[in-house]
Order: sequence, then C-alpha cells, then structure tokens
Amino acid sequence: MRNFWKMGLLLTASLVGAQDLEAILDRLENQNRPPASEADMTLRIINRNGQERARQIKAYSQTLSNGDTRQILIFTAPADVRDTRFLTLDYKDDAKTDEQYIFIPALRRVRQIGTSGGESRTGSFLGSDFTFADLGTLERKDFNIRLVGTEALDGVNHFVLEYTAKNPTVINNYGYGRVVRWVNSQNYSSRKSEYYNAQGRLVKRSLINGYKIVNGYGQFESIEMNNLETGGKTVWSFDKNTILPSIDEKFFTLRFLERGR
Amino acid sequence: MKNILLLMGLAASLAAEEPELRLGGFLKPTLHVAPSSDASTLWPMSGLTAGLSFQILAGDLSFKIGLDGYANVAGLGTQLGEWKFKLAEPTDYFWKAATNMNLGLHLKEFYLELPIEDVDLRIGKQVFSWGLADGNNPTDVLNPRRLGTRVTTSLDEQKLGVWAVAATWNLPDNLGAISGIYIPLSVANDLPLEAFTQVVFPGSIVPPIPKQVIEFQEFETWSFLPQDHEGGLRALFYLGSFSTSVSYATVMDRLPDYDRSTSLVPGSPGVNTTTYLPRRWRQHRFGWDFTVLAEGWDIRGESVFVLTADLEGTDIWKKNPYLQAVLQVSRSYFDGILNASLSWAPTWVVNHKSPDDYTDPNLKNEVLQFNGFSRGFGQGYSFEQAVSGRLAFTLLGETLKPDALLVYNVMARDYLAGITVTYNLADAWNLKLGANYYGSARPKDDPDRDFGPFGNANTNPGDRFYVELRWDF
Repeated sequence: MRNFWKMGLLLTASLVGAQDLEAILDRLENQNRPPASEADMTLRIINRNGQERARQIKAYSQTLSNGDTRQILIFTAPADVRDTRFLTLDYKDDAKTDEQYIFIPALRRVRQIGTSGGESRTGSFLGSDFTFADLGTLERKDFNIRLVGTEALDGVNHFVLEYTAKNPTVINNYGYGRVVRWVNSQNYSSRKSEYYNAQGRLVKRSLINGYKIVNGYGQFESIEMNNLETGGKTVWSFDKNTILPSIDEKFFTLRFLERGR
Repeated sequence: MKNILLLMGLAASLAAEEPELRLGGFLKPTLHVAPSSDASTLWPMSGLTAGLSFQILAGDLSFKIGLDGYANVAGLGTQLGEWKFKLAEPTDYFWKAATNMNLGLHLKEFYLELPIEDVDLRIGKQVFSWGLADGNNPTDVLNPRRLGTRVTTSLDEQKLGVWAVAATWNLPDNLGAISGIYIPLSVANDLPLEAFTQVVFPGSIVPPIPKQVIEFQEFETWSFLPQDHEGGLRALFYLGSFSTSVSYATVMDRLPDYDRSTSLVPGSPGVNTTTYLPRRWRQHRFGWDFTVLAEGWDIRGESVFVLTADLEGTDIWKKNPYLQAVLQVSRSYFDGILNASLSWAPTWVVNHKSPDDYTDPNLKNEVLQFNGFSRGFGQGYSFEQAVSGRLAFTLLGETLKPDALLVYNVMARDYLAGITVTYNLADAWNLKLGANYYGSARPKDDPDRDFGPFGNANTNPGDRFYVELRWDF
C-alpha cells in the first residue's frame, strides 16, 4: 500500500513537473496577509490520556509592506502563566535572522530565544506540542526544497513539498531534519505538515482546519499539532479574529514585551 | 500645590478612559523538614506565603500595589516568647515570637507608571531586575534581599521592593534601553542580626583581670539620610544574537561591615567592653554583562567591580574593593527536554590580607572574627571561585520539571547540592518538592569554615526537605 502511494506521488510529480517550484513557494510564502490583526486564541494542550490544559492568548500581528511580519502573543490565563508575553519578528530578507523574545513575569526579565538555554527554539512553547521554532517560518535558505508530487486531501489537489535541512546547524535551529508540507493547489495555503527528526523518524504532524478567505485574506480556524512520540496534541484555535487597517507599532517592541503596555 | 495639581492631572487621566482593574496573586503553603536539627527546629518553616497584586490601568497610566504576606507557624504548640516587632524598612512589618513562629507583611510594590514619549517613568516602590546571567546576578543589587530571616524558594521572593524614581528611555528599533534610577531610602539586606550583650569572662580580683563584655549593637537597616541616597544607570543593547549592558550603581552596602571599639572602665575588677556596631558603607559598582546565542550554545557573563570604603585594604573591619564575575555556558539536548549548564563564578579581592598575614595574634583574631561576622559573605580569600553544574529537565510538555544543582567553592571547600521537582497539577496549581544539602570538605573545628557561605555555621540554614503547593489566581 505504501509503495502504491509512492508510485502515485511519482506519477503526479511528473504531471506537475511543469509547475515551477519557485512559483509555488512564492505563492505559499506571499499569501495575502492583512496589514494588521487582533485575535483571541485558545491553546488546548491534550495529553495521550485526554487530560486537557488550556491557555488563553491575546494576539496582535502586523505585516509590513516589505513582507516582514511581527506578532506578539500575550497569555491572559491561567494565572500561573498570565502576563507571559512572546514577540516574534520575522524578516523577509534572508540576510536578517528572525528574532524571538519572551518575557517571563516570575523572572521580570526579557530573554531572547536561542538555539539553547532555558528557552531554546526547539523546546516546547509553554508546555504545548509546538516548539518556539514552529511559530516561525521555514526559511528557504535553510532547506533544499523539492516538489515530490500531488495528493488529494478533502477532494482538493495539494502539492507535496519536501524540505530537507541543508546542514546540522539547521537541524539544531528547527529541530527537524525534514518537513513535508501539503499545499492547496487552489489557494496555496498549507493544509498539513509532517515533521521528521534528525534520524528521519516522523515525530509530529500538523493539520490546519477551517481555512477560508475573509475580506480577501486567508484565515484558518485552528491548527492542530499531533505529537506522535508522546501521543499528545495541541489545538491552537482562533476564538475571534479581527482584521485591522493598521495597528500601533508599540505592540511589537521590547518595551511592550516587558511592560505589557 | 504642585502635588495637588499632579494628582488632579492623574485623576483626570484616569477618568478620561474607563480604567481596567486587575487583581491577582498566589497562595503557597509550605512544609520544611530539617532532619539534622533537634526536635524544636525540626520544622523550621511550615506555613503560608501569599502575594496579592492590584493594578489599575487607564490609558497609558498604570498604578500597581503588590503585597507579600508570610506566616511561619512551625512553632505552634511550643513555648513562645513575647511577640517582638521589627521593621526591616518602613513598609516591611515583621512579628516574631520564636525562630519558627513569625508573621510578616511587606509592601513590595506601590508605584505609578507613566510613559512620556519614549521614556517610561515609574515612581514609587518597585522591584528591579538587572543582569543578563541566569540566577547569579552580581549587578542586581538595587533591591535588598532577605537572607536567613525567612525561607524562600525563589529569587523574587527574596527581594524587597525599594522606593525609587526610575526613568527608562527605550531606544528605537528594539535596540535596547537606557535607564536611570534614584533611590532616596537605602535599605540593607534583611539579616538575622540582633543586638545583644554577652559577658565572656566574669573578671577576677586576684589576679586582677577585668570583666570581659561583648556588646553587639543594633543594626540600622535603613536610612533616609541624604548621604545614603542611592542610584544607578544602565544601558542595555539587543544586537541580534548578542545582548550586552553596562551599568553603574552607587549604593550603600547591602551587608554590614563593623565599627569595633573597646573601652575599659577601671575598677576592681574593671570592665573591658568590646563593642561591635554593624555599619554600611558606600559602594560604587561598575557592571558589565552579555549574552551570546550561537551554534547551539547559550553563553552568558556578568561582572561587577566594586569600589568600597576601604580602598587600600587597611581596615580589617571593612570590605576591600573586589571584582565579582560569573560565566555560564548552557546547551539544550533532546529538543529542549534537557538543559545542561556549567558556571564559573570567581571573586578577586583587592589588597587582600589573610589572617596568616598578621603576626599580631589580636589582629589575626580580629580578621577571623570579621569573616565569621560576615557570615560567609566576607572576604576570606584573595581569590575564590565557585563552580556549579545544573541539569534541568522539562518533561511531559512542561508538566514535570526535575532540576539538579551542585555548587562548590574551591577555596572555602564547601558545597550546596539541591534537587527540585515541580509538577503542574492543573492550571494554576503547582507542586514543588525539594531537598538542599549543605556541606564542607573542611573539618568541623577548622576556623576557615567560617569563610565559606555553605559550610559556615551561621549561614548554613541546614539540610532540608520541603514541599510547597502554589496556587495562582
């Protein structure tokens, strides 16, 4: 059965051979994003026994005209993580390294997220099945990317892209040696991703649910990250998402991260 | 009049927008067991720590009150002395009936914060966090700490708020911040020092030897005097994967030195009194710290050079200038499940003299006394270095966090081993089990044991196990 599936992929790969991989990536990475948004989110962390913990998050995001994106997540509940704030600055320019910072109220300090230390990029994001690295993007400069075929999901054709880490440093930075993504061939949104560790073992699978176009911008209802090693999963859902024409720059500063205002 | 206008302005600001009120806090019942103690102190701390914070947000303005409460009721059922009242500083209230029976209430935060363009102004009682190193921050001295007066299990619990005016200029493009702090009320660390008078020799007429008395005077732990005002400046820069800051703080030493004097009242027998007055002297602290995140390594360093009142090192009873530093290297393994770190913390004392440098036995004895009085925070060695290793695990999606720490002082040859396991029972509920073991490689009768913080009989809080349950709301 597995071989049959592979054969199918090979066949479809040849069918889409004319498709320019670069064009797919361009469409995928340059989705029409709102200039700004404000959202209420819930992060449900469910272990393999079905026990659940929930975190409430207020999020603000911004897309600049040069393609840079910024996001701040503010944990509002439960009380033991309240006022933890997390800032991501994603630069379109490959020459600039993306930045992530976290404010931990118990320490009263801002810490930069690195590849090691107490909060490493490959470590769990506040106890969830997402890592800090998962909250960023897969940078083209870090991976050899291949179109390995197409596959129908929910009756819609999807391109299957394989990202292979270029070197051990990239594996250290992302925590994965290989990532396979299913990209909707109609709207170029990512639907599913599978994450393989450095040894090539499939360790996590994410699913994006409820993708729709609202006011010309792609939005989804939830993203589910299944941890195949622990049997647990985390569901990150939008309870409310408001597109804004603009947003105060203050949200994306270390000043706001530390003060919360 | 100016104050009234300011208050009216603030009231108008608060009224301009519907204020948001935030209430939060925690309750933390704790049980400590000291297995090596006698029955009366077997439970050195069993009681409750609580925190309550109340914040009003209106527009850009915010006002915060933070209170800490502490009740050690381990002495319940034992014979108690009279309740004694102590003020570690004007808004820190402490009642004590026994070592293991006391109550405390501390106004930790009480401040108004207002932004003016790129500057944040914060006025009132507050807590500062300086230093980019993890846990061991030699530059972080603006807040005094509780040392030995109550059992604390986190750094933030140790800190007392200070009354201050702080201005922070936030640099553009997330480059960093420059802050200036003025502290009109200088407060010492909260230490278990009490005044006493002790007759160490009753005296004799034949042969004629005066009565020998030691008088240990009250430690004045806070001062409003203009010459004791404090301040600090810090410039912090975030430069990609490299962060650094330079700082200067002028503070009164958080730990006491001593004025020692002797007096002889003639008589038959006379009375020879040696008086020790705990005193604090000004320190000028020049700090530098950094963080480098590169190639899977997290490297942090922090150092401070401290100019003290005894620059030449000629006064036995005052601290000499010193350089204190820490270098930490850590790395994560197994996708962040394990974080392993090593740390080296050297301290170099300028113009240091050891007891053996004195030929006069009285002076030699004084040096030994000073190091004993300094309770392990003195300057026993010209060059001391602490090495430590830590393994911190994050398991089951941050539900279970075991942590093991070993610290060893190379010259003092004493050590601390600690293990904690934190378990997240449910949202906002955390259970922590811990054990601390203090020891020294030196024999018990070795006077040098007093030179180290972990082998020192005065500071060694004793081996212990503890359980704490924390509920945040």
